Amino acid sequence: MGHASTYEPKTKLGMWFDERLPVARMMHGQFVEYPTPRNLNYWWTFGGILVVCLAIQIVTGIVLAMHYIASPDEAFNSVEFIMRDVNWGWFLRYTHAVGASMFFVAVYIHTFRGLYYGSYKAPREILWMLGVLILLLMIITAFMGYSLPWGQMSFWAVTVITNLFSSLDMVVPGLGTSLVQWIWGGYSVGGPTLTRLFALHYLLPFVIAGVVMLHIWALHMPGNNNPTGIDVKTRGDTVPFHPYYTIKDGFALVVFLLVFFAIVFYAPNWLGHPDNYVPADPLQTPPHIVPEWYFLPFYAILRAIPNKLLGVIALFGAIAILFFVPWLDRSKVRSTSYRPIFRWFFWLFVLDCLMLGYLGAQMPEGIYLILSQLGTLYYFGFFLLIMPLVGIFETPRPRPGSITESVLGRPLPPDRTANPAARPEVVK
Amino acid sequence: MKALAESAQVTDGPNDKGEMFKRPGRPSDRFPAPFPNEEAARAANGGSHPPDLSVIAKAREGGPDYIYSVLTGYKDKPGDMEMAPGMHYNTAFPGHQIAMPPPLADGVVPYTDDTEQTVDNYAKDVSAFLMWTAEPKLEQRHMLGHRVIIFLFVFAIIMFLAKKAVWKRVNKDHPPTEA
Repeated sequence: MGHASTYEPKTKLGMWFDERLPVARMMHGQFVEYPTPRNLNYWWTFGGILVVCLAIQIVTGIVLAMHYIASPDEAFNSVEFIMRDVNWGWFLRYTHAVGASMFFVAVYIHTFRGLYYGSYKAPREILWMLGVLILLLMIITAFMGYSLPWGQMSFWAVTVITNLFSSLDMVVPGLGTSLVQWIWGGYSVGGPTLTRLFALHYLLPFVIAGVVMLHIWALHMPGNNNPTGIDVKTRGDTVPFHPYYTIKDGFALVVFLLVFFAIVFYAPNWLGHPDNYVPADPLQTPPHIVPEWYFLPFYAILRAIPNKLLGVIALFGAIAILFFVPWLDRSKVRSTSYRPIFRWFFWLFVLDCLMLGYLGAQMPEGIYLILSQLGTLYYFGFFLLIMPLVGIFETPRPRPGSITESVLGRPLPPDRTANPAARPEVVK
Repeated sequence: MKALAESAQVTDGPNDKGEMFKRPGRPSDRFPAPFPNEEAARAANGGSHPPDLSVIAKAREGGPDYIYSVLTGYKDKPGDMEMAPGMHYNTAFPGHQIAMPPPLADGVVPYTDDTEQTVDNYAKDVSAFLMWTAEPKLEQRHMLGHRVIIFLFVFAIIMFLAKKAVWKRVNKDHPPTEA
């Protein structure tokens, strides 16, 4: 994909194998020689980190599933059994629970990085859309996983979120109710709901793994974008993936794991909610139902809209709109570094998402509700108005002629690099 | 812990004659429940269901500090407050009306040393104990955590130096030329 392989098997067995199934040749081409832009910064290390996150979740999850019992009477106790009596059970469960949060930290950084550097623009539209699909699958998987301990928050989150589908009653009377009962497997959230959530929670990570492979394939076709957003033009613009990016990604990964395990060992319940240590009670609604932190911005959008059906549409729309980003952005320039106006809107969008996250944890009333509505307005306005219009009217700053040029130049302000006279020929 | 468990009598069985029998407790046993069922528990507590306390220290905002505050929060009600029948005024409990009668009183349990036998000291011990029942692996977790974090920290430094070393030769081995 994109470059010729120089792989030469060194042993007879290697040659025999290579003629029959050239999997080692493929790995060598894609993860050793793979020409990677030489100017990637640390924001590019989160792709590799995410692969490790998925692996951690799958490995800890499979072992947890060996001890967990998916039944309303047993689920809560089986989780406590894992915490107390299963060897290393507490470590597995806390790693899995904190791992879900860290997975979302990484995926949100990865997504904002793609948004900032225009990594969704041609020829990477499919790559971006597969990424959005992974995000969507992650959201569904995490939601299902959170239901499994069958604590108060688990139970009531399932009740609230599955009930969203009942809003379809406003379109076709009876449709929503039938759909919700079909999802529940009964007339209320109960045993059949829990077992299906468990089955799907076990299935979806492998679907994610499959889409991740497609995502990497789609990445390796055009190759990585880079902080300048300028295409790779010559061999000199790139370095082989190994050892340059294996070591850089590796360093970033270790730092990430340092934070990860500091939380696992010293504050494993920091990101959780105390109510989920209360066993589920269908007769007692908690005073304040909140989702996990990584869903809070979407929860704020859902509650900002007074009409239930429209709220649900906005909730799904908030994810769905990401699929259209490659065509909403009309700018000819990829990297926001060279977009003086869009840059402001981008950082305002980041702040908006953080604000919505904060508001998602508050009661939807008074000033909180008004701010949620303004935040929701900006969220959709950013994609539907700002992206197309700023792209058309903005004058981008001059960009370096190539990746090599930007690497060789002293850290000049980008607007001076356009002038050849101001550009030093070779440094070093 | 074993000796403590043995001091309790636990119902086990049935044996091969089909009868239930009593035996000394083991650390893996649960605490004997004070009430045979939820209805009996409610009847004895003014209609409220006393919660299972196994993970209570993790199930409340504030954890052991909250438990301490509830245990020491029994006060005379403010003059103008209407109390429901059988309820007790408590400064820490949400709504300030709790069905549980004050569980502690000065001097009810002697200490083996000369610690003062006060509600305050008892409350500290009870909340510390409940934190332990909620998180029995906490000490083990912290001990392992120290080692893991030190390891990762050293590993990160090594990785940083290795990254520096590898990238030092990048312009020599892969010159950034326009060719």
